[in-house]
Amino acid sequence: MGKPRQYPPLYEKIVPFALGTLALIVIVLVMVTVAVALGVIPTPV
Amino acid sequence: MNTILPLLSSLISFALAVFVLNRYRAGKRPHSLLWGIGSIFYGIGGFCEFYNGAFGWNPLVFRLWYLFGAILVAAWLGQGTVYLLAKPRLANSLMIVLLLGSLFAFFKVFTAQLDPSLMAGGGHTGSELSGKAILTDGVRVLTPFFNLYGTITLVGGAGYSAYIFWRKRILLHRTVGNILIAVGATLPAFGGFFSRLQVPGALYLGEFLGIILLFLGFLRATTEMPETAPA
Repeated sequence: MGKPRQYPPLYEKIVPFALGTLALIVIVLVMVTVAVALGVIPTPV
Repeated sequence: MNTILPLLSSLISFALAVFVLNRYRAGKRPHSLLWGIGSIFYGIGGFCEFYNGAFGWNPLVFRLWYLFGAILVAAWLGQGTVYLLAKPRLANSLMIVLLLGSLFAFFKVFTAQLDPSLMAGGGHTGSELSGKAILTDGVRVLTPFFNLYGTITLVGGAGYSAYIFWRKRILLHRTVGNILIAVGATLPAFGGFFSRLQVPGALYLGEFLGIILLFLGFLRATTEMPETAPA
């Protein structure tokens, strides 16, 4: 039985890091947007 | 900076719209149509910013900028991703809500009272267009709702797609493309944030870098890459 599929080594390293960073960014953006909508943070643009 | 960057953003946005709408013409998939429309909105926003930088205040240009560039663009791009990932019934229901919301936003923006002198000072660079020029209540409060929807659907959707492809180790070009799209979609928000910290040109730079990554992400996602075969 063959080994599981893999991306090229560079992408095996970069992609998980990028996905984790994106998840963090989404959480922060959603929290900031909710805070703005609730008036906790002054309305931006 | 306040003319060149938004002009470039606008041109790149319209070019992306051409690419995406060509794909819609070929396949008639609704997500391509929504992304194309969203790209046009991005381009309208950029053009209005360029116009303001080059020719000064114009209330119509400001209203177009605020409606398309500040309120609608993220949500409409995100709606394209909803059509790509969600069941048609849910996507259609959300589309109806977005359409009604957009019509309401149009009404509010185009009936709002404006004062351009308020764009300078008070936590804003003043050299860029700003929603601070809107006097009427109930207009600026719309922006976070549309942007929240756009963030969750566009950024979250692209990130989710990238994750699914990565987990299965398939379609590397789509993994990379979706990551570029997701990152590109966040940059205008960061630009706006740093603009409030009085970093000059941050908003327009964020929009410019954002549309570049969106465009590159689209090209990457639609062009196959060599992948490692199983050992």
